[in-house]
Amino acid sequence: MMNSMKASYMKSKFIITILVSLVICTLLSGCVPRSIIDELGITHTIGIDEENGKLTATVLYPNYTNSNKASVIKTAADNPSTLKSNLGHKSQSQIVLGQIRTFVLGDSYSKAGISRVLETICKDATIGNITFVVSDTKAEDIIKGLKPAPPLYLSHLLETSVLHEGTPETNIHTLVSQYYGSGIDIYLPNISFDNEKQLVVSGLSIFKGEKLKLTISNKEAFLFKLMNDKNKSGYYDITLPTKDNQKGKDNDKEQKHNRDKKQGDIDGKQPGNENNFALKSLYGKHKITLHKKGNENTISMNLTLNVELKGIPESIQIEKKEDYQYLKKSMEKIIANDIETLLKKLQQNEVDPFGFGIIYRSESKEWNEKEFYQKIYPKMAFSVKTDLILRQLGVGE
Amino acid sequence: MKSIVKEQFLVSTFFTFYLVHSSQIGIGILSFQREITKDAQQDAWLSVIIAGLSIHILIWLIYQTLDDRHNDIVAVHDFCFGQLIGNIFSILVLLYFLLSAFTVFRTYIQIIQVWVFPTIKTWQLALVLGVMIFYIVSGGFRILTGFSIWGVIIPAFLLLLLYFPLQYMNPRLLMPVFNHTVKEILLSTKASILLFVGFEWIFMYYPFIKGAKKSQKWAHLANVISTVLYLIVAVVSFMYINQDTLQHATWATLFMTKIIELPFIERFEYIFIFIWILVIIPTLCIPIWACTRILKRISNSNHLKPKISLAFFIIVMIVAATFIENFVEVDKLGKFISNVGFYFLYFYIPFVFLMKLFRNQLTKMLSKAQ
Repeated sequence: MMNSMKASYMKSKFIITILVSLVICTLLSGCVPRSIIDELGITHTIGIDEENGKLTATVLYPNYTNSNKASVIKTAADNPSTLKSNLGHKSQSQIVLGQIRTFVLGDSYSKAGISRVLETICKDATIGNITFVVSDTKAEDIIKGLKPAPPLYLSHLLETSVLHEGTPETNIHTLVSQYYGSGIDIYLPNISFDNEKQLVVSGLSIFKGEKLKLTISNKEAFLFKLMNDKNKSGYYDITLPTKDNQKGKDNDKEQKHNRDKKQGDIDGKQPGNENNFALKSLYGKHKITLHKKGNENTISMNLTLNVELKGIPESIQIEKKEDYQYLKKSMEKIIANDIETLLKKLQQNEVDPFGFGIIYRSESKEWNEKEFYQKIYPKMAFSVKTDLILRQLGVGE
Repeated sequence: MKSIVKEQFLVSTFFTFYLVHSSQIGIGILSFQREITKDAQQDAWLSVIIAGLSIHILIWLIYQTLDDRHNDIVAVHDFCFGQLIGNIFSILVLLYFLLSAFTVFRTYIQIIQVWVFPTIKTWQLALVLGVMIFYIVSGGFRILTGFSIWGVIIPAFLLLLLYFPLQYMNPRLLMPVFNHTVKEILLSTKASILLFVGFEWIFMYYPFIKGAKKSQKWAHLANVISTVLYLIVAVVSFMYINQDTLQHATWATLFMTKIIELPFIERFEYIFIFIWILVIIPTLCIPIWACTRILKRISNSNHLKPKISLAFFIIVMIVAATFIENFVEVDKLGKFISNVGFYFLYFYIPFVFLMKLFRNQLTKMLSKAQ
């Protein structure tokens, strides 16, 4: 009797617990702030410019409710936070930054210094992992040009460019640590519209402090990536010097060559340079070391690269050991020289995207950023060694 | 006045490992990098090791202080100082425990407000958390032990997440090694001690462990694992974020998780923050449980039900939480508790140990004299 009473008591207690928790669940779900996704202006791309001493932001946000057309809004303000609320004033829906992928910084703004926007973004918890790019023109033009494109066009463009086409990888982490960290300078991909009004990734913008200082080409950016990133895939364009000894030795070849040339003349000139071809970098390793000898600091860079050759010049017969060596050595020399030229160029412009400062700092007791960049960095010497391993020649023949 | 606990409420010896480890890992791991690198910079990993080692000594002291007859801090106080003064000391310890629970409570609310829901009010979150704490603590010590297992498993998953920042690491940021003075390293050690706070709750749950004397090795093991975990997180974050940036990153571990992008979860840090509540539950609930236990022991009567005192403590916390309005005050609270914790660990624990030793000798001498 007692037992059954106790059992029924337990049962009713159990049911009451369940009911109460269900009620609490339904009540509590009302506490969650509600955001209906169709009613939000979820932006993916923002352009920041400087205009008459004010910051302007141009925002592109897809409009899912009415049509599938994207809208562009533009506002100006004195500080980044007001900028966001001003954007809200101009759109029918609340502008949210949680899904933002790309920040486009206009050229004049980048030259004036990007610190204010950057510091605001660092403090904003809603912003995730984003990429920054610098545009050749005003960021506004880029955003307006993106209007007909799909919403994530720019971020996908950058992603593929980084993955396969040799643009160095950047994201909010690299940017923030380059910005706050001493001994390294900021680098960001550069985008522009070409003559055909198509968006292209065009090299790398390198900052000194918070200000844009130097822009390097895609080719140089790839060399930079080779020495800086783990992912080394991309194409590098090489023009072999004409082989003098080849001409005398191999008459048949020369004649054939000439014949081909004549044929070409008749048909109309073949486009392009015959000695120019591209090597495809597959994977590799780089190592940067600092050698200190008294006051002399030498940065030595070693690069081992596994490459695939596509379309080598006809005059090169790869089966011949001599030709093979010639091809390999001259390619190694060209790449090493190009890297050295790039390093000198960076040095002359007083920028340090490689982070030689970090390397120097890690090997010396004292560290003074100003002193390093005024006294030591301009006098640094470089030696570059490259080692190419020709893995594949492609299919065919 | 020995604390007597019925057999059915005891937990197995090896659970000490879970209890100690989960008490040590909590809210601190989300943000400790900035504090500990203020002085020793890239050498701060050394400070973590030193702090971890010094905690071993304190654990040893705690186990030396407690024995079968005086098996919790209230009994020790009673033995050393007599009932009245002993109870005053016990209440001070209670206040310290309550304050450390309160700090975790308020800081977690702060994190949710900063990272996820900026508009949510403090009292709303405090109420929800308070109800949760009441529910868990009223389940008793065995339930707390069960929860502390989460406090071990989830931080272990944190190690897997470190894979993502490791891709961007730069080992050079750890160099040059040892270019800081001893003083700087010790100052950083002081800052890293707060990480290990939590093991001192052994003072209250010692009688709840079966074969408590044998549990010492588990407590030491837990401390070793905590040290290793903190060390790994510290080294990875030093290699990932350079020292200058670290000074700008309040929640460096959360900042690191920003880099994680999975195909199905874009913003991993949000998931991370909410999973972390399972980790902080032991650091919230065990001290509150210890508070109710202290109160029960010193009141020494059956009139004061633990549930009532528990409700009282939680209401105090909720009310106090709403009075702390801004991040500056939360910061101050954290600094204050880290100072109090430091003195509690390095002055009070040895002090109690010495008093106990002294009192033991005194008793022996007295009994001989008779």
